[in-house]
Amino acid sequence: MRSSRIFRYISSWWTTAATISLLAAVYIVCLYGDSPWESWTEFMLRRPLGMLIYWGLIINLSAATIRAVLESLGRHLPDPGSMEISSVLPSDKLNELAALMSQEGYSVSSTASSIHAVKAKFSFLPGVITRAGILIFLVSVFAGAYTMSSTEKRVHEGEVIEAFGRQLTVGSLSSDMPAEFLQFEEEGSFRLKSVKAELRSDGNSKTVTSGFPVRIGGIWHRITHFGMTLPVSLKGNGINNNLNIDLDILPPGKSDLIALQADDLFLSVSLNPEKTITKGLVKAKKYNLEALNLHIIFQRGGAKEKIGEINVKEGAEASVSGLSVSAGRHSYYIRVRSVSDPALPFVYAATLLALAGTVMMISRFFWYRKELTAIAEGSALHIGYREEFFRKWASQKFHRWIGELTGGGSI
Amino acid sequence: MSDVFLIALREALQSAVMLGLVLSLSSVQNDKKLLYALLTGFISAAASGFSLGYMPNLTKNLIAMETWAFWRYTAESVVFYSGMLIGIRQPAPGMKLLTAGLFMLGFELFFFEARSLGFLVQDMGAMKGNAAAALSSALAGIAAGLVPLFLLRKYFRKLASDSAFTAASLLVTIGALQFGIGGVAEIEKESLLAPMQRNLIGFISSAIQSLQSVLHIQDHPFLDVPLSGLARFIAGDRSALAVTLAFIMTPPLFLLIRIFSKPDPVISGIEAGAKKRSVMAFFRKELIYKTMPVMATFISLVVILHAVNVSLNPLYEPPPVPVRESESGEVIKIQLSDKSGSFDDRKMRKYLYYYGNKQVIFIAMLKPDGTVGVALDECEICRPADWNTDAKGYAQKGDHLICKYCMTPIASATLNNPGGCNPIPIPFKSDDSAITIKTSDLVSTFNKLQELEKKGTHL
Repeated sequence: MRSSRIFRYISSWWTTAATISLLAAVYIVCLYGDSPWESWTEFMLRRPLGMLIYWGLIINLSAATIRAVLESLGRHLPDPGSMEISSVLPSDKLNELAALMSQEGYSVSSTASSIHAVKAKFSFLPGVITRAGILIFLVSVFAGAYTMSSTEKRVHEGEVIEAFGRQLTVGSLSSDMPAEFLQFEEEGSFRLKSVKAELRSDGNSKTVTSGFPVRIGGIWHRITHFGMTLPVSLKGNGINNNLNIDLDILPPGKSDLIALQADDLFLSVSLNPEKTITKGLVKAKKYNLEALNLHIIFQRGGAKEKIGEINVKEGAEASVSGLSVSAGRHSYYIRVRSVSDPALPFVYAATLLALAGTVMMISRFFWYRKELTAIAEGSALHIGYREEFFRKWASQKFHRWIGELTGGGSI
Repeated sequence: MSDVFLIALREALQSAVMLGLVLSLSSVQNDKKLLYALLTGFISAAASGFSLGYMPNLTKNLIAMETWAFWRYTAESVVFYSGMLIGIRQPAPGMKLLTAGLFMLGFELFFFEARSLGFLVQDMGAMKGNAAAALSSALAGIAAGLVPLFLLRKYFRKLASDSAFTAASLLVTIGALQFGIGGVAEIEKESLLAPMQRNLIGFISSAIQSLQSVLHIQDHPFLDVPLSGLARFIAGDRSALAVTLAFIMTPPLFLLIRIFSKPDPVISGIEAGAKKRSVMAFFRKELIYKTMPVMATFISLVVILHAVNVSLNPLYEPPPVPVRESESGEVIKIQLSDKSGSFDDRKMRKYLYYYGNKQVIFIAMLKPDGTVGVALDECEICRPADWNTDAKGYAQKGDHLICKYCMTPIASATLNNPGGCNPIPIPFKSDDSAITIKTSDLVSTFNKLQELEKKGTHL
């Protein structure tokens, strides 16, 4: 008896509301700090008091889920008097009532002295699925906070990624990079939909994209960045350097600062538009992304003093202030994030479950539990009825049935 | 010191209205213990709040100035939501609990306002170099604000607010009133809903980023990432608005559902038709009375939320810049780029042309397609009354022009298109550097509008 009461407290909505209110209160306190979200998650996942509240919520959700299933599928016959609407009829109406409930579409289970009629027995499913999703999500996130580790590497075609003791070779690298791109004003409409890399390991090969992470040998991989690599030759002013520079100059218009520490030189590189188109007051810049035209500003020293700027095309040479620059044919690089996270599949499963449950919740407007109990005691038949929602209609419906059974008509 | 007096009067009056609502309940009037508890709470709030505000050193080390607003918001929310909790649990509290609850309610009704008032009075007294005058003006203002409550005390019994208010709906109403008028506007400009919405935007956007990070699908500036569009949509300010809406609408909606889901009385057992009708009439009357305060709360919350949203997304309306015709007197030339800025910023500009003793205001802006639009700052349909001339014309909100009278958003791309709520187009020419409007075109469009206005119709 006592344990069932404790279970009721733990699984109640009040406990859920209290736990969530506590977490909200902690977030409000965190708002007075510099990074509220980070402080809040740190508190919940790493601090004892925070973990207590967090696990309190997990336990509450677990208990609520179990309770919902047990109450809906249990064979316990509710006491008619304790139900929302109740009435008493002569006990000879038992069979008539059972027939009426069957006629109304209820699933009726009856004995010689009782009836239990239920409609929408499984209507608890949306709630249970949503709660289960949230529950698994919370547990997985907690587990992930302690077990997840990741590395990120910048790689070119043919290079090897070493992640978590495993070697992966970047077989091929492809993208849907357009031959040219028209940039209107400052709006960033540049988007690459398909950047793919083939990663090979132990004779197996899998394609990794910037989409969902791909699992190779227990490690999850995903492309997190894409850029251009350019062979550049710098000569003059005592400098003789052949370099492969990784440029972060996408979307077109963005500039990247390359530091050549040995030569005390800084190169600010950006794509140079092939032409500028003006229509009315709108200006658009057209970039050639097949044969790059680069704009390079040379700077020197700690103060980054500008020593000159040039435009140089791929395969061409240009010079400024005694410095000659030649650019080769560009290729691409990617940044690959490798993650060891045993909880990740559960996080995805939980997210899908929670979403599915939430969508299914719509059905609760018309799919909700309706339950009637009738118990014959001596000459009296005690009848109780309840509906989960729209109780006013339930009451009217119940009185109509009673009227039909007693021959008194409806109210 | 009349300003101090007026502020104190206003705050005391506002609190007195809420106190009056509680006092009008017969259960409070008929029980001296409850009545005294409520009034003691209110008076002690006035005394302690005012003293704490007037002597800020008392609490300087305990509560920082900025956290007072936070505690006020918390107290208002507790009152608002306790209404819903009472509605759910329908408790039957003992006398002690009820007395304590009424004391707390009385205290909450005036404490934060009294503290802010005390602080303001001390500050204004120090600034004007006459602390005593400020203090006496404030005390006189508070006393004057509470006088109506004292004078009208015998009418509370006749108000019979019991038939309209339940404990739950009263608390929700008071909470909603406090969201609207809580705090002293001169030093605490915002209602709870504004900071709530701002912080929710931050919370939701951080939560979405965190979810993307947990799923290992972090967004990227130009790589296509799954569900990034959905994530950006959810992280937008619409979600924050939806949560704020849920926060303020849940208690009144809950109470409304509760009222309307009350089953009709069973009258099948009553034989006399007159009795049946009387029972049903009583039931319906009670339903209407109980609904009224909750509906009023609901509507006022919608208004408050709208006001908050307007304050968070203010309309852009530049003052009109006077323009003159060129030397020939035939055209008005407006440079697209000059020292005051460039049309490239896509902001609306207003110009004022003096035609005789009349003022012609017109707007010009760069449309999304890169062309220019020019129109009178007058709506074809809306004609605000003479006392409401501030609502005349248009303001800008993002990519839309907003008719200030009917608040209809008009896509800026449709500027120069006649009809609907669009501004009345003016013929013009433009090149890469300037807009040229013939003075005769501007004047004739304006005159046409004036003539139609005289007839009582519009274009």
